[in-house]
Amino acid sequence: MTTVLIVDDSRLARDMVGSVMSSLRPNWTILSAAGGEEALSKVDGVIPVVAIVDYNMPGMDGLTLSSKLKEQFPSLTIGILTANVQDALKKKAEALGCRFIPKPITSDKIREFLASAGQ
Amino acid sequence: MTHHDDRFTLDADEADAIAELFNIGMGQAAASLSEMIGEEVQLSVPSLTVSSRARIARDLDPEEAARVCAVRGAFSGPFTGEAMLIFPERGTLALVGRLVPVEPGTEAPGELEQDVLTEIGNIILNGCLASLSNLVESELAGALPGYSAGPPAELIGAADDPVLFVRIDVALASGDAQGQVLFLLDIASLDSFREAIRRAVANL
Repeated sequence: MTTVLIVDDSRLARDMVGSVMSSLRPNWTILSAAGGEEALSKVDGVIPVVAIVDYNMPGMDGLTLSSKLKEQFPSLTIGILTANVQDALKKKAEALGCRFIPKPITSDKIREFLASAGQ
Repeated sequence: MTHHDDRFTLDADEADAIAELFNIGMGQAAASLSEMIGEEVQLSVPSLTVSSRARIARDLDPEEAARVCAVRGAFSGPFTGEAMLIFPERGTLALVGRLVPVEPGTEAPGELEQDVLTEIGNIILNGCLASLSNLVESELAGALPGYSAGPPAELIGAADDPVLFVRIDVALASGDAQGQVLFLLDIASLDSFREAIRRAVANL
């Protein structure tokens, strides 16, 4: 079973990423969460192959969540989802080994991300 | 007129969609500002409420003490209203100081500082409106934003009529400039806004 983790505080954004993922990878299991804490509790006992994580979320932001996920799953490929592609953010994301997926979400961007993740 | 008229009720999905559109729009605008000043610009998650100008001003300045600088402009299209970038005077000087030298000891923004803030406001507000306009695939005409300064109540107004209020807090990473971007949307335009959101969601 291949699992993708989707974390975004916006239901719209989660649904959109989810629907693109299920059209691109119909056999994958989608695990979605509205925030960092929920995501961490949901991956207990599951090993996702990729994670798509919103940056700007209430409470834990996407980079903090990503560093926690990386501690738990060092080989996990994480895409940080944001319209706010600033150099400072880019550097922090790169330091964690994360990629960027610029919002708004499109099927092509997700496809490209999966290819770069070797999935 | 009550604030709980059906016309003003957004369901959870509509509210979520509006917040996400503003999140994307402001994200792109903040990236432009960050590039301009060479520093990280932090944004809060957008908050969305039905409020009134009187209440918004009160919430921003409960002590009625602060003088703020604002760059604001009206916009119209599938939704109409007013966009504002607001910084306290001190924060304005810190922000403007990233682009032009500000004399030490300056208390209030002078003509040059006002011009620079207006340009920053222009980039942020029009950048955000341009992204929104692209997302909903219809034109949003924006007036050129203008500068004003004073207590929030004077700038925002004291009307009790309901407005749909979107607020995003903006801060420089170094912590010396913290302000807000406010969008006050006319409730009368909510139906066309809903229609625009439906189109945006269908297109994404």
